[in-house]
Amino acid sequence: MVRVSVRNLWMRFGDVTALKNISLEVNEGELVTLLGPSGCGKTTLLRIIAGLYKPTSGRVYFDNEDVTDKPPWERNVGLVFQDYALWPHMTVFDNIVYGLKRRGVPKSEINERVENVSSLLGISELLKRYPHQLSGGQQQRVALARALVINPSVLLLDEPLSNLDAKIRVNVRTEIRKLQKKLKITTIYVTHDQEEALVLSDRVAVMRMGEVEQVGTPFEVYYNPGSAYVADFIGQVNMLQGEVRSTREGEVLLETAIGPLLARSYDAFQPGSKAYAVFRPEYVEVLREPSDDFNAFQGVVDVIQFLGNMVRVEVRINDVPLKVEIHKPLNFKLPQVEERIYLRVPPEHIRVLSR
Amino acid sequence: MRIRVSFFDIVRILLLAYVLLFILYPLAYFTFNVISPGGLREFINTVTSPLFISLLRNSIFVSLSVTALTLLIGVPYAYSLHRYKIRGKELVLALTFLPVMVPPFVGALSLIFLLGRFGTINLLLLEAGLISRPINFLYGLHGVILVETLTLFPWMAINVYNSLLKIDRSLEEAAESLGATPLTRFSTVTLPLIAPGVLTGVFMIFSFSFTDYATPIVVGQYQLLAPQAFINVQQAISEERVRIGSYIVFFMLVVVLAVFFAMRKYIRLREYASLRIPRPVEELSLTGVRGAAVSFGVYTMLALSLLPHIYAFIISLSRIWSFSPFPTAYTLDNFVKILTATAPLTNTAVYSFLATLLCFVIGSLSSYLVLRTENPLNWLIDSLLSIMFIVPGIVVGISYLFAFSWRIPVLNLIGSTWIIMPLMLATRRITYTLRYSFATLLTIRRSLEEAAYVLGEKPSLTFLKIVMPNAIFGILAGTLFSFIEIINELTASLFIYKPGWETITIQLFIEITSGHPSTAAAYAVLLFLISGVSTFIATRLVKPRRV
Repeated sequence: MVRVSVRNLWMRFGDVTALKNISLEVNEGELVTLLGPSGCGKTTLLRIIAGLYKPTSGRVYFDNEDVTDKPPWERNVGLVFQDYALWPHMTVFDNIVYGLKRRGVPKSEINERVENVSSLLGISELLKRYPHQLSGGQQQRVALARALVINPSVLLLDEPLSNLDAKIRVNVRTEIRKLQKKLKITTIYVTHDQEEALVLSDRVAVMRMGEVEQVGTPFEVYYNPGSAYVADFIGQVNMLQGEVRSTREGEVLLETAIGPLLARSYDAFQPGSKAYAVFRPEYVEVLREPSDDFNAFQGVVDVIQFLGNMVRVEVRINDVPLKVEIHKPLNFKLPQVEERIYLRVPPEHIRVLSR
Repeated sequence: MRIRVSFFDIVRILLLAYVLLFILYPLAYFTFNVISPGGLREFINTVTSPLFISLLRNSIFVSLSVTALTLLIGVPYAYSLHRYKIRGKELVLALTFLPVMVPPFVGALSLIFLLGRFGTINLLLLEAGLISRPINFLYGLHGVILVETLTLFPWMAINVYNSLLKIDRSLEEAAESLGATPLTRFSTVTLPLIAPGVLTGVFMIFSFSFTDYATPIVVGQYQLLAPQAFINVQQAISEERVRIGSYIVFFMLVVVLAVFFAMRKYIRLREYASLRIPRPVEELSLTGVRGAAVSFGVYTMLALSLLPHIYAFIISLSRIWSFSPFPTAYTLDNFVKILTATAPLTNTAVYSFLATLLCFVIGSLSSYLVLRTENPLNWLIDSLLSIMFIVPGIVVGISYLFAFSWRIPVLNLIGSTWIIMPLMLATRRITYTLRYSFATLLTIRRSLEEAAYVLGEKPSLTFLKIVMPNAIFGILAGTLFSFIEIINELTASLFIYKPGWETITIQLFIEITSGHPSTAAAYAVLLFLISGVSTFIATRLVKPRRV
């Protein structure tokens, strides 16, 4: 297993700058996801680590070895492609042994390793088939087997689940995580699906327009987003523009479109500075009656969506829409559309982010 | 930015050397010969002379007439085949494709026996007492127009049909749903959509009929630019005559290029294979008089286009055939003769094998290079290879003749040995391999190669082990079409061959001009057979496969 270090990486395609000064450390045995919308540079970064692109500037290290100038065929990485890239003219077996043959592994060992990896992934029955005879999920496993069988220093996965049905996707991602933990293999995983990133990762690197916006554990990026962008990208969020009115030890008072908001914050803000008040819909309390408390508001119900495990309510306060989630809806008398309701946002659940 | 590897660099340098030496150099040499200080004056004198002007008028008249007539026949023919239910459509399509393979001068030979002064038709009409003296169908400009229209209209039909195939039916339905009448729909939606196919056909046919010298020579019509140029250069009575011939050829090149650039916007050099037997699509059934008329029209034109083939077959079997509508004695001697005179056969086998191999290697490697790497030199390689689609055979022939002549040190070694034949043939007929290779490689996902790189394979072996197995059938199909065109090549070969290098087509031309039509016809039948079998194999290769 190796530690992957990316330092001051720049990548330009003609006039387009795809990566801007990226630095990232992935520890031995760690799974880091690169999360971001399409065009944010996550796949470019992955391909640079694989050696398929050469960066405009910056270095890539596997442990202490500088691999920046090494072509992909000298790097010993396992790469799983979004479209699996299984060779249609070869059987599953031939696909899997390809990398082993290239490495001159003796025949007896080849068979053993193929057996191991295929039983690990549950594809032992498929070895004689051709890729077009497999389902999407099976192709995905074969692609994974082909990447794993060479004992790669690093496993790279480029949106490996995006071509699968929703249900299979959830199963496979759990398996990938288990497998990765079991093999303790350093893994970099590219996805645009924030839920996938949260479920799978040791750490998440949230990317935006060629830059890494925040790196942190799933918990950190969800509860402690470093920027409005991260907060907005991960999960559902309410984000209100505001102006800092006053600050006290650990507290900030913001003037927003729905009125004054009190928030806990340990960051320093100058009064008069622009900021966002950010809070998750599941932390908005729905009250039975009006309250004089801080951060209490009244509004009108706009939309009610039943999602099964919860009900999402959109409430208008001074024409500003606010998302509210009611979990365990059976325990609660649900409001009706156009009904007036009362809300409170606890200050400890509001993050203030500069804008 | 791509991976930089020596494999691509080596390939690029080799291809560049090839295209510079065998495409750019001969054409440039020829061009500079004409527009040299002394040459330019002579060139202008030549092209302003009254003789030249009258030849030009004839040539323009012939080529424009042929183009217009093939349009008039080819477009409705293709449209009917595409749109309407016609009995035996698969066969009709396959047979339409057949005449496309064979050069028109072969058709001219057959038509002399059918329509000549004492050909079948005239003799039958005379016997029936309908005419008192033979009708002149063939001898004159109208004869050239007749032969070329009949042999070239399938080209137009195939190009138009392929464009029609690409039209999404819903585009026309959208027009109908918005209230367009069939005529409005055709002119506002269908016609603009098939314009590229029509114009590609127009260009090919104009360019061919403008520069073809073989057909006019076979029907004895010399009052055209191309045969004059050929004779001046070929007979080489004096240096001056050769130069005048080359000025005429250069002038024709300029005209063809001008026409090409005028229509450039619409001509797709990389269009996926205009040369293939298309498959019928959803069609309307016509009944009654209209249905009968459409079927009759299609069958008639098909029969007319196949007539030269059928006649060539009859001629090849004839022992005695003079002043009678059909042969009076039959024999297989002509075939025995051509099969025992081995030189043309072995020459064709050797040259076409080498040329086809070159096409395969150059076509597949250059398409791969262009698709997978970015380099300013790629553009040069690609453009020079593509240009061979535009350059007429007569220009290729004369350029090679001059550029590899005994005057040129070192390079004369190429021109003085037979190796120049396969080199020229490959260069001239690379287009189909190029198109098919490009289209096929385009369907191969880049990730298939990247997966191999990541597993430790270098680009050269990745190309052989991953790309080739998946692309081979498409590339081979294109190569086979190149092969068909190689064995049917005449107009350039005739300039550069030396005694002993005769190919089947050269020998065929010689037999015609030296008055042995039945031997010539036997060669023609042999060409039909090889071309037909190759086409059959090629179309099987491009049938849809799993990816």
